[in-house]
Amino acid sequence: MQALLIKDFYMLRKQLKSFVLLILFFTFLSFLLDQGLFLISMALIVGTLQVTTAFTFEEMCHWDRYAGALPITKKMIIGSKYALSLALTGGSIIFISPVLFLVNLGHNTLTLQEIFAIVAVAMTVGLVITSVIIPVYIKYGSTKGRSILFAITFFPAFGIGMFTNSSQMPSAETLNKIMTVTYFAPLIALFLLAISYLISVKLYSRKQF
Amino acid sequence: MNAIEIIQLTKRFDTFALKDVSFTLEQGTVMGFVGENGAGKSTTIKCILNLLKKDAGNIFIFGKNHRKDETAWKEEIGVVFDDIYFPTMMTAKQIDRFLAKVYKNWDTTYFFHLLERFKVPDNKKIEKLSRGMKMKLSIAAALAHHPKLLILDEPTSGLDPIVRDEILDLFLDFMQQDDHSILFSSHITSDLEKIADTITFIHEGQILFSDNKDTLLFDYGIWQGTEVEALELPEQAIVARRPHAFGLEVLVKRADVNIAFELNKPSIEDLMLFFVKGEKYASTTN
Repeated sequence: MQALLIKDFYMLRKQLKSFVLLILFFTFLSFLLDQGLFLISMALIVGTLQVTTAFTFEEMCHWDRYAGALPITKKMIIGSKYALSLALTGGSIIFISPVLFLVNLGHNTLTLQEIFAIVAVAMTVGLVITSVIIPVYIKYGSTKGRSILFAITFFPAFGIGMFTNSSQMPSAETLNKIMTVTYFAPLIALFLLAISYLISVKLYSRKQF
Repeated sequence: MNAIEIIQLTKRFDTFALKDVSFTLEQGTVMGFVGENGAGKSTTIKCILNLLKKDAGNIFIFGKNHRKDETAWKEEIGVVFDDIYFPTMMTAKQIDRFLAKVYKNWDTTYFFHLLERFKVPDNKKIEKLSRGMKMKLSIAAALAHHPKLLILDEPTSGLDPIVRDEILDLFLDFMQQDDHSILFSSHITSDLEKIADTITFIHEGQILFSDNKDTLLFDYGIWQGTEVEALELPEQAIVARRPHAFGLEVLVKRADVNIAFELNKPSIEDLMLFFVKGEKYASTTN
């Protein structure tokens, strides 16, 4: 597993550098505009895309064929992709959480509880996207996978937009309940991630190179 | 002990199939695995490595079923494909750090020694290397954990004769140890004539022959003459015929032909051409 993560790091080094620069730029923008929420969405989107980039690069050089000749199990190959994803999502969130806190210090529009809730939701969204996208990329490859990734991120966002435009704001009681649920949401997402891993191992084991 | 034993391997695709492929690579020998493009060489190798799932048959590596303890026997083999399959943004130094974590017996000193011998730069990205350099790097990566078996799938195709010669020398060095073996798939038959002990010939997914190289080259002979003169050859001796501008070439079984007929020694390429493009041939599968 460690070997595969080292390989992924070398493979994505250039992309990771751009990712860090982008996050720093958006951090600067967050302070400038006094708005930290879009930093989270940017970090999540770009962070998730790194794993899809890894799949694309590997497909281009027929990496799976070579990996099949090495003393590495299929579980390790798939496990490394999940570990990479967790490292990127986790790393992004560890970095952006204090930024969000500091941006909020200026005007105190959000309570500490609300900041935690936002971070928990961000983590959940990252894990759910990872849970869906890895088996999709294994099953359909990077070209079809990209279209599916677009569909699964665009349509829910579009749906939520429609819902918030056409409905009334929920009551304070409902909002409190939602807040409580959000604290547990990352745990549910981790469970989903575990199921996704098992599905991915099964899909990858069936593949032929 | 056998390094590889394949018994009645079958793998079906929509337009192609491997049919009852059987052969044995003895430890301490080099097998040249020949056949035209699309004959089934790579498919067989992929089945050995479990990259493709076989439909029927058995494959044994060092006497054990290849589906069992896969990581254990893959520690003992080195594989070179027809191209380097590492991400092209990686350098040889990075490959060393990666493979050092993959193989228990990885030998960094030997890896860099091989790179130096081949004059492969260790800090240049793969995408910047020539094809020859890429293949040399690929071979160094396959040898630096001191495997006992090398599986080579067209490693010399597209390389110039100088580079091919350097690579063949390295394979001959590898064979200095008694328990080392090579399965060498190639359609460059001159390479196999230099290095192979046995030749296995696959055509349209079936093994036509698998035998000792010298025996094969001695057992067959090429007779040249006219159509009329060819009538004097014993029918049972004729394996295949190839008409050409000045008459006819006939591949015959030397043992079935009277010594009065003048026969030339065939090359592996001649055998391939007769078996694939010849007008008629008898089954000689061993």
